[in-house]
Amino acid sequence: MQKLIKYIVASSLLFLSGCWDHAELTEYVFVQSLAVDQKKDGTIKLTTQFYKPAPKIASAGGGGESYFNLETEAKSVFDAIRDVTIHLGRKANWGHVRFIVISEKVAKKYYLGSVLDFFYRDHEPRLLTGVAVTEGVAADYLKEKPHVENTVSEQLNEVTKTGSKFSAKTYPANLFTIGKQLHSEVDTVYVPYLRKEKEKENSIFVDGLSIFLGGKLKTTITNKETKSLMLALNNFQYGIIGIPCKGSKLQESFEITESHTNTSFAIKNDVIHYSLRPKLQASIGELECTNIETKQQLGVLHTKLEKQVNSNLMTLLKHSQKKDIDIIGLGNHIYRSNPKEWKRIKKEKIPYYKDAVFHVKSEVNILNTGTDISKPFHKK
Amino acid sequence: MLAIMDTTKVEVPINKDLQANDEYMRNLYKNCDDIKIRHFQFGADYKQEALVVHCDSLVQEEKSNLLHQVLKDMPDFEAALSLDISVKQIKVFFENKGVSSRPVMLLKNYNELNANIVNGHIVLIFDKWDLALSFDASSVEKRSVAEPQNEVVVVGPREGTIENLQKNLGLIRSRVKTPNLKFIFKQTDGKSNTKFVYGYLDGTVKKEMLEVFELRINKIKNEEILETSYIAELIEESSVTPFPQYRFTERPDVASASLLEGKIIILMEGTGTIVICPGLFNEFFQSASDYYQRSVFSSIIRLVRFIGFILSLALPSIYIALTTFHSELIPTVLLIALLDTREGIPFPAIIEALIMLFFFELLQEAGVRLPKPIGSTVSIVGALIIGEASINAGLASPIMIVVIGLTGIASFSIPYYDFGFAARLLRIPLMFLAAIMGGFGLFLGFILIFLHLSKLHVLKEPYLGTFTLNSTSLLKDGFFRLSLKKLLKHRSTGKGL
Repeated sequence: MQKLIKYIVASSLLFLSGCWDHAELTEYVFVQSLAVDQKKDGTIKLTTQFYKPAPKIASAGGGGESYFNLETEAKSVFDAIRDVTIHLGRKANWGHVRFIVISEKVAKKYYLGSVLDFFYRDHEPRLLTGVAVTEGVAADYLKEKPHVENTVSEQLNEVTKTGSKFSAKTYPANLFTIGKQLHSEVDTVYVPYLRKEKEKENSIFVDGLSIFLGGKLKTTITNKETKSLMLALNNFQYGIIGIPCKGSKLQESFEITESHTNTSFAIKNDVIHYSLRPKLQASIGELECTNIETKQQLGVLHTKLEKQVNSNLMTLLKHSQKKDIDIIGLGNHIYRSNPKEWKRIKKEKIPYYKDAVFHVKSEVNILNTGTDISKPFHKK
Repeated sequence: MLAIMDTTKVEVPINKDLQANDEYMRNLYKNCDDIKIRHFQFGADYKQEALVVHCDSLVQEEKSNLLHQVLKDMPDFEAALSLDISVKQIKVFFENKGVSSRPVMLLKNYNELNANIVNGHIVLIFDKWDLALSFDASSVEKRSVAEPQNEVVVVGPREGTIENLQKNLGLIRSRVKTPNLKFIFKQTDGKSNTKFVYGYLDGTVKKEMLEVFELRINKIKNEEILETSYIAELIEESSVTPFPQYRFTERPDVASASLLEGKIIILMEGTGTIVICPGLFNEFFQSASDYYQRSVFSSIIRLVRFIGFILSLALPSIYIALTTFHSELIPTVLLIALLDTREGIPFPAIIEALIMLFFFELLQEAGVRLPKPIGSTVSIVGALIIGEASINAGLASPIMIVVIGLTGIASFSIPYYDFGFAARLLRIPLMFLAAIMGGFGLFLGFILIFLHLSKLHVLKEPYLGTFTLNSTSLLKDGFFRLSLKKLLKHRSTGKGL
């Protein structure tokens, strides 16, 4: 009898968790990416890209596109998302969303956090889903065909990730980084800016960064500026920095293989001094107009490159100061090291960024000249 | 009159009348055409009469011919003494002349007489004597020592046991040369009259283990035993568990090694399978070749076997749990590949897995049963044609074929074939648990298996004994195989492994 009770108790374990979330893969349709647009009447137009499984069975034919797009309209993102179910016979699974594109219009008008709220709240989407802002209608970007990947969603995800790693021309934004930045004291958010050429197919490319402030799109910066920004944010991994040759359109190119930026901050006489000291390891990628046959010549090249890095950075900072956009999140530094001061700045609405003084001093070490040393290859 | 008596219970003395004996024998061995009953005349003028009974199928023809010769020679020998030949004289004669190297026995009753005949003795019944003479001439044709089919090693002895008990004992005795090696003979009473032996190394074997073993083995009396596995099953701890509790081997070197480790072995006349008891969990992952190869390699191979066991146990259920409950755990690119293969399959993952598993088991069984030349055809037809065709027909997804194929192959990586059965058996309930409850169910299943294993004892030894915290043996000769320098040193200190 006691044994029987034991078995009954043990078997009740079976009902603790049930088949409620049991679903075969074929019962789901997996969302690959989303495009958030706004219609003229103010409603949100959501374009959802789903993965369309292509059975690789010979008799079933196969081939065709590996994705399909679905457009739904509603007043909120969540409502639009729910409308997906009335179009498809399958449950939408948000566990594998790769990318979210938001049109420039929406980004300028709506608070970014509220557009993305569903993705933070729901348990299915991952925080590492990439996000980008598009020039023009976002839905058009999902209609492009991928070059190599299965779907354009996958391509966009890879473009922003590897693009930022190897060229430093963009920032690998995802829901996590955006969420973190939105909750900072100065909510500068960096999101890749996508563009495509109008008449050309498959021409999506990342063109710098879009900078959000106060949750709304403030400005966009170019690829070149992005490189400097990445240096300032200590987020530069690999990338190319060029020095223009005097009197020609050619340039010397250096590959940065290692980068670390030390920053320090001080308030002297009510003026904020912020100094950046990028330390770079470079190797010569292309040499067009400089000979480095002697140690002195190499030294000259060193200083040239250092100066170039300094001026690039200063240009970006000056430019942003002119627009009064705290592009490097200086306010966060102030808040961290001197919360009281930050409170005062905030209260009295002091234009701290505009008045800040920047000191940039880079240090470059050229490690490698490549196999053909000392002079440009074409020079005999 | 005699014939109707039940000779199996009452000990009836042998009749003095040869004619009556003849009748009795012919009656008893009616329709037993391989029992030969022959009359012989011998002595001076061939006046003495005798009856020779032997089993033709157990006694080689040459030897009975030799017997004829001896009987025919007898007159010359006996003439010198007296006309009246006594049985005792004949016995002495046989022993001196050495017809058989084995001693001649005097039989008093019919029970002994029959037992001797069916055991391959030649029995002589003389006229006017109530005693019979028997000498061993048993010589059933046995194959010679050959390489074992199932436990092949690259380096190491190639001797395998055969169906002859004496030879098998010799093979072991020649490896363990100590008076401490005890062999105790036993015989069952049933119709098969099986002779079996259990052996152990006195001083090395654990006393309480031996006591329990002897208690159980002594209970075997009237059972008809044809194979050592019968004995193993008769004395096993639990018949319900899928895990084998005894190891079977055909290698005398493995048997010797296990004796040295303090195990008890059982051998039997008529079969080459040696039972090693007790067989503990991690011993089923050890192969003879582990000790003949270098320790680094053996250790890695063991790890592969452990992984193989887990794969063979749980791979289909992991697949089911992942695809039906935890699709978010699958990397996106892999998921896309899975989606492509799963699309258009009409069955849920569990049904698909069960179908393919059934196909696999069917192919395996067919491959085992069929004669060797056709067996390979089955595997080709099965693996290539059925597998390919079921994908094309949309019955199964390629990924499922990979999962089931890997599962099947993994179960073959375990050196002891019957241990793989445990994985094959437990696979199915685990799959159902995974299909109902996903990862939670899978772990529930694992916990239940682990509970069962930790409760299981074999001859008072815990089945997972080598996995206990205070036991270092798992590191020495469990997951890894330490270098023999350390391993043998440890063993010679008498601590046992």
